[in-house]
Amino acid sequence: MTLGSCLNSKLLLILKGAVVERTLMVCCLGSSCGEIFYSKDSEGSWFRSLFVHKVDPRKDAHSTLLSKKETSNLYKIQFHNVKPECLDAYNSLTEAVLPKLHLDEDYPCSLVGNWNTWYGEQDQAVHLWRFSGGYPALMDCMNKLKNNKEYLEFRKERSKMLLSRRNQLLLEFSFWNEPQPRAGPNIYELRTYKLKPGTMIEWGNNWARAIKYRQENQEAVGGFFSQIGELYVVHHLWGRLEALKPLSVPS
Amino acid sequence: MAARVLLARGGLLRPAAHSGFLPGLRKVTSSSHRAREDSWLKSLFVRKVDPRKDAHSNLLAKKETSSLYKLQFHNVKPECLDAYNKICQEVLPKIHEGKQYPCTLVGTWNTWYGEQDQAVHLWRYEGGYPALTEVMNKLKENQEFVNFRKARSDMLLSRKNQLLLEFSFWNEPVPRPGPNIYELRSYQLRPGTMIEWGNYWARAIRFRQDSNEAVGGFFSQIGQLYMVHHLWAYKDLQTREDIRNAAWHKHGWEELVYYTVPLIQEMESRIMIPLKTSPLQ
Repeated sequence: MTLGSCLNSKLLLILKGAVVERTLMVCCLGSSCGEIFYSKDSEGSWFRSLFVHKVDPRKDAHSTLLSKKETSNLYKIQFHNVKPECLDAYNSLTEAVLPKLHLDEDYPCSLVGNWNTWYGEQDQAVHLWRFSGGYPALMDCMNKLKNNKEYLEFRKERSKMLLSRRNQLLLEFSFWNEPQPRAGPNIYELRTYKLKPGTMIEWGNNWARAIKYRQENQEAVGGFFSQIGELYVVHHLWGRLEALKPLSVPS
Repeated sequence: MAARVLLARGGLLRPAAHSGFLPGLRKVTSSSHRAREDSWLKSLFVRKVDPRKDAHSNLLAKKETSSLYKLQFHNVKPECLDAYNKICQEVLPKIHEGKQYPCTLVGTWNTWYGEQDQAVHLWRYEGGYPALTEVMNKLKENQEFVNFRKARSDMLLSRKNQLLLEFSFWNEPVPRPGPNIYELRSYQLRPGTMIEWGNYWARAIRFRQDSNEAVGGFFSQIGQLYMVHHLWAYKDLQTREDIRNAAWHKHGWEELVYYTVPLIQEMESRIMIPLKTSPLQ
């Protein structure tokens, strides 16, 4: 009886394990509770998994264990909260300047995507950049941009249109698809998870298997974990053609 | 029946003797068989932490000095960041150097990665709370400072601050020449786990001395509570990555990470660039 009630409260705790902040696009139903329940064939381990969230000791840095080895891509994600009255002006400005950086071979970076939010936090612009040479490429870009007059002007103009901004440096998970350009029209969903510190490896282990179930219609765009900025944050980016109805698959 | 199955499983837990989220399980192995079953079940539901005997400030802070630190986070309106930096660079060094103010500016930065358009200032008050009150009273009479505050308030979106003490086992933040980038790692700990955190980091800090990267470690006393800040200095981001990865090859580091990470509720990392007038460059 007491065991019964304690069972329930613990279940609640575990269910809240991975807090989901659904940021963009369509409101998705369902939560991440599906993954928590293990098979009931072995009652012992099923019970155990409810009460003891045992995490194996880590042997190395996340960047070594979880990210793609063949490339040393570093990603930067920017969230710009734009003053609502300035959103159109902001978009015109960024559409004029950002592609130049992307196309210019002098800058070792590429623009993976830029979006305006539709559902979730509104009047927000999200930009995702890839630095193919890792941290040295990032520094290289930064130093060159400091001397780029057009870019400095752009920054000054842009700063008047912003309420606030934040960014994170991310690495991609080794088992996720690489984000490639794709023809539209698509809508994108960015699901952002704030994990409990210490659980990144476990997350990765489960998603290395889960991602295979989500390869229909090329919906998986990219999966990232943060290295700088807010920590223990995971982003999953999904894309689907507007023509297709949104799939209500949990998580 | 379920309990007995659990007990059998409980034996398997012994070699590891811990779970990431329930350190209380470590206690299980020393009790008797019957008592073990009860205490094991109990420890699943009750996170056992040794009772504290004294205030954090007595147990964890440096004894030889009574330095009090103030950390300020100023969210600046994006279009005003340059103007804000300009007035800060004019006024803050005067307070730092003014002998009548018993305070020192430890460092002043702008964030680069993380929350952007944010200025971070760290002050030290060598005389503790009396020094803090003295500085505050004197500044009220300082016309230049009052004007500065007024001008500054037009440029800010919001601001928050915390009063901190430094951990006894961390390095003292002394001025250093640049150019460095700084990382401020802020941890929101689960209430009640500060001593445990301190115990582990007293050992962990030794693994992080090789490149002189450790600047200062602080815990909050006023403001957001159960906050810990670790301040690190690196030449650049790649060096930071290399130094942090190298720690994993040191025997004992992985164990300390394993024990300290479950104590954290939330953590944040800011990469900051010092302003020209910052003593920490």
